Amino acid sequence: MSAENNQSCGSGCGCHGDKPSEPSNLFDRRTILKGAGATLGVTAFAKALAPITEWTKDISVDEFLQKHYKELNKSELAAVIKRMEKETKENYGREVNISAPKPQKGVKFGYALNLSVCNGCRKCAEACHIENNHDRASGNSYIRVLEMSKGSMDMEHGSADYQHPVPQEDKFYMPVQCQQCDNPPCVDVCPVEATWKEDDGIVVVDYNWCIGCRYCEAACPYHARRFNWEKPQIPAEEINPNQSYLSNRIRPQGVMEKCTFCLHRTREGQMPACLEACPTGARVFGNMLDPNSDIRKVLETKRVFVLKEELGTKPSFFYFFD
Amino acid sequence: MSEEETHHDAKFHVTTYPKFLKLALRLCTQGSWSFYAWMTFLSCVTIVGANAWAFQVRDGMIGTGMSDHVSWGLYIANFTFIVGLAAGGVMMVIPAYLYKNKDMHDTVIIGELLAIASIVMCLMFVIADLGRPDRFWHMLPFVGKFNWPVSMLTWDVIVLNGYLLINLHICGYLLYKRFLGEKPDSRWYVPFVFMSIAWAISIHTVTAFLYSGLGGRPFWNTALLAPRFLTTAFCAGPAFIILVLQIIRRMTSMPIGEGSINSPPI
Repeated sequence: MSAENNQSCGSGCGCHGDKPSEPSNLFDRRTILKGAGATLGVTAFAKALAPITEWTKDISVDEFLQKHYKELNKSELAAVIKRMEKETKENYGREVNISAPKPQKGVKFGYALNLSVCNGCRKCAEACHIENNHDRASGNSYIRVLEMSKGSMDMEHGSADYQHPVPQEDKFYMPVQCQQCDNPPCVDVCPVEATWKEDDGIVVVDYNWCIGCRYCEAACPYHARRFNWEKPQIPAEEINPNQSYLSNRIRPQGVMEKCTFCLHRTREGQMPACLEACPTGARVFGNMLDPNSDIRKVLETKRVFVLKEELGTKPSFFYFFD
Repeated sequence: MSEEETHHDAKFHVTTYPKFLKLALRLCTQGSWSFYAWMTFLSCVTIVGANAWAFQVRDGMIGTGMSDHVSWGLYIANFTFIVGLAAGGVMMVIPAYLYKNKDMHDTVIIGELLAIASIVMCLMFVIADLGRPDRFWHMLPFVGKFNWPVSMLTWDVIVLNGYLLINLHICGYLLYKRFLGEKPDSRWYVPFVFMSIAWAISIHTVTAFLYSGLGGRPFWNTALLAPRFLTTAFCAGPAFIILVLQIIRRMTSMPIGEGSINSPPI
C-alpha cells in the first residue's frame, strides 16, 4: 500500500508527476481557457433559465408561503381569499366573491342518474363548464357523457366525443363525473395531501397546495380529474363570480381540479349546476342521510349500481335504469 | 488495526477534504481535445434542455403535448427506466464482494458512479414533471405535508434519496482514501455496499409499487409488476455498464480485466 502513496491517484487518471495536489500555474493556457469556458457556461445557463424569472413575477411571496387549507385559521383564510379576489380582478378583470362554506353536519351527498331518460344532450357538461370557470380554449368539463351500445356496459367501447344528433336509437347515454368515492384512490396517492375527503363526502383539492405531479389523475379509475396544462383563459364577461375556495375559483396553472358536486351551491342548499341544466330530469341529488330526500327514495326503490365496483372505491354516484 | 493506519483528527479532514474536492474538480475538467469537445457538446445540450424546461415552467405543461388521457409521458417513462439502470448497475457489485472476483473490484466503482448519476437524473426527471416546481417544499416532512406511509410517491422519495446518499458515501469514501493514499477501512464501506445492494432492489420495487397499486390501470395492477421491473432492470443496468466499460477500454488507459465483462453477475 505504501507504493501507492507515490501515485495516490491510482493508474491512468491523467494527473502528472507525484505531487498532484499542488496547484499548477494559475495562468497557464489550460486554466485560463477552462475559466473562460466555465464563465461562458454559467452565463449561458443563467440566460437559458430566464423565462422562469418572468413566471415568478406572477407569484407573490404570500402565495408561495401559503399554508395548507386545513391549517389556515379564520383570519388567515380571510386574508388568503382577499388576496385571491384581488388577483382575479388583476388577471381576469372581474370582481368575484370567493366563499369558503364548511360541510354541514348530518349531510352526506349522493348523486343518482337515471340512464333510461338521459338523452346525451350534454347540457350538464356545458353547465359545468360555465359554472366552474373552466378554461375556454380546451372546452374542458368535469362531465364526460359516454355513448354506449344498448345491452352492454363495456365502457371501453363507449364514445365520449360523438358529434351527431341524439338520442340515437340503439344507444344509451351515461354521463361520468367524479364519483366522490368513499375509498378514493386519488386521496391515497397524493404525496402532499393536497386532496382529501370532506365530512359531507365531497373529495376536494386545495389548488394552492397541489404540486401538479398528476399521480391522482393516474390513480382515478373514472377519468374524473383534470389538470391545468396552461393558465386558464376566460373572458371577463363569462366568469361566474360566485366562487368558493375549494371549488370553482379560477385555478392557477399546473394544478389538478375535479368535480366538487358544486359545493359552493350545494353547501348553501342549492342543486349542482349539472342537475339544474338537465332537460330530462335524469339527475337526482341530495343528502343520503336525510330519510325524506329524493336520493334516498332512489336508493331504496330503484336497482342502482355503481361503476367499477370490483375496485372497491365505493362511489357516491349511482346509476339506474327505470 | 495495522501500524500503517494513521489516525486523523477532524481538523485534518477539514483542511484536507477541500483539497480533495479541488483536485477532483481539476481532474474531471482535464483531458484531451476530444474530451473538451464532448463536454462542450453535452453542456450545449444541457443548456438547451434547461431553457426548454424554463419555458415549460412559464407557459405550462401544455408544451409537452401531454393531455388528461395519458397524464404521464416521457418524463415518468424515462424516470422509471433510469431507476432500473440505477438498481441494475449496483448488481455488478455483487460478484466483487460475494464471489470475491478480483477483476470486478475496479468496475465496482463504475457501478456505484452509474447509480449516483442515474439517481440524480431520476430526481431531475421528477422535478421536471411537476406542474408546480415552486411548490416543491410542500413535499418536505415537517415543513410541508409528507403523506407517508399512505402515498407510494413518498416511499419513492425516501428510497431514492437514501440510495443516493449511500452511494455518495461509498464513492466519496473510497475516492478520498485513494487521495490520501491510505487503504480504505472495510468497516466504513463494505456494510454500505451490502446495504446498497439490498436498497437497489427496494428502489425499483417501490417504483413498481407506484404503478401496481392503481386499481384503475389494469395493465399495471398486478403483483407481477415489481419482479418484472427488477428483471428488466437487472438486464439493463449491467448491459449499460458493459457498454461503458468497453468505451473506457478503448478511449482511456484504465485497465479493464476480461473477467469484469465476461462473468455475468447473475
